[in-house]
Amino acid sequence: MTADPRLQLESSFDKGAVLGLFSAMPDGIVVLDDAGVVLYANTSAHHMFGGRPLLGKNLGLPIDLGNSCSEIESIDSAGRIGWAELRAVAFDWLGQPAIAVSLRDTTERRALAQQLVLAGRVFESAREGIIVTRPDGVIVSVNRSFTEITGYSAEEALGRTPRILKSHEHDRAFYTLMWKAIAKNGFWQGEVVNRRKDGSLYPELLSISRIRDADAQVTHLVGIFSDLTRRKADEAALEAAKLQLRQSEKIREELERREAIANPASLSVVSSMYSVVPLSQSARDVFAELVSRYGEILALALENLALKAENPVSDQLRELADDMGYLQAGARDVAELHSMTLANNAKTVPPMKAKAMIEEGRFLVLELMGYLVSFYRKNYYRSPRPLDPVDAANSKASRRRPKKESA
Amino acid sequence: MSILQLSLFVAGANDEIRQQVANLGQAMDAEVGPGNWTLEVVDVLEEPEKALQSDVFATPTLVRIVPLPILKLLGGIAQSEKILSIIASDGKPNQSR
Repeated sequence: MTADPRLQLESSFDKGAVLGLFSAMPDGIVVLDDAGVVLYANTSAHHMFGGRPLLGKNLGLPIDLGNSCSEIESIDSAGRIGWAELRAVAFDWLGQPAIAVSLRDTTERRALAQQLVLAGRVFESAREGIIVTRPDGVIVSVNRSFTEITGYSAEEALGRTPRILKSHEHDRAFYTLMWKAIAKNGFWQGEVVNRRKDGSLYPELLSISRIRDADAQVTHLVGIFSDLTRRKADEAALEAAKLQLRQSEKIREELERREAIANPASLSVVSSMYSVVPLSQSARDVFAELVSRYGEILALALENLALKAENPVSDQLRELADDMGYLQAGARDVAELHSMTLANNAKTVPPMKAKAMIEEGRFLVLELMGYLVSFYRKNYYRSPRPLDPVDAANSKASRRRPKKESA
Repeated sequence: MSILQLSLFVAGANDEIRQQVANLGQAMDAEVGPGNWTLEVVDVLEEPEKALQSDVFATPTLVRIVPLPILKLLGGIAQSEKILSIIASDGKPNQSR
């Protein structure tokens, strides 16, 4: 390729001022012959293509000639993509028809624009309400969540100040402290009761921070807040659920205490249905396994409820009831299984989920009890309880009824 | 007559590009007839090495592989008529465009 005599002409231009001028230009300058082969490329053009040799290579004929400008992507020696605006004009290069191409690198501009788009999307999609004000407090921007929480549209809020949300639930000293903290630390966070457009009050967790420019001048203040109404309600519901659980445990303990008094020979009324000693004591490991299985079924039931899933909860419950039946479990074992599972959940799963489990669990425990009763109805035998329930658990698989049986 | 063989190098295949490729195909059917052309689309985001191997420096670039000589057109693939008038010619595009 270097044998092309036209490429040699470049050297005669070296002395000229024109090429010196080109090499100083930030834009890429390329001269092509009328087939698209590169006759000259300046430093910026070489830079744009990541140092790939250009001279004598076919860059391609620009389809658009003249003043119009087209977007292209440049490919460097490592295969990386950059963006450029291409402008091409036909002209005479040493007496031959040629094409002058200028390339403006827009990679950085594009990245900035994309960043702006992304920032805008984050702003709009944030679950928290966001207010941006000038230092004098005039609102210049709010997001969608702001409107959802406060009831004020962006048009209604812009140009006004956050005082439109003031509830008069806080005294002057509260705001004085808040502004002092912002002035001192550039930041404040706390719970505030504000007023929606419809007049209703709502608690929010509010963070206010200052935005400074490169010269450290405060240009804006940003308030980010989340509505605490839901969370407060959730907290209350969870407390109620915990209280209910504690009460039901108290009742159970009280029942057991009374049974113990009434039946000194530890043959309690409930457990004497079929069992002498609660499973949780006579077969700890087996009982622990039952607890974990029941917990899983409960989770599946919740999934059915929340995600409209179709887990075979009833089938699994019936299987569990059968296994418990073979272990000759009684009503008290079911109650204990249920309350222990809920107690475990309260420790390990998020509060909202634990609360939902307690609610769903009420139906589940009834269903389980029903299956256990029907197990006894079907397989009623009053054989003496095995001395060692672990044996019963180990041999249960052989006695498990076939899975296919109509409900 | 040999089949017209083309490769189009693009950076990322979005809907706009898919539409332009479809238009180009229609124009080619009309000009050289269905079955007389092939168009391979290479996404350089997926296969940058193909661009380096084929000495493609920028996208979108349309390369005419057959018939020879190899012809490369840079940018503006939306203008399918203009493109066709160049690639259907035997080699060098006329300068009157």
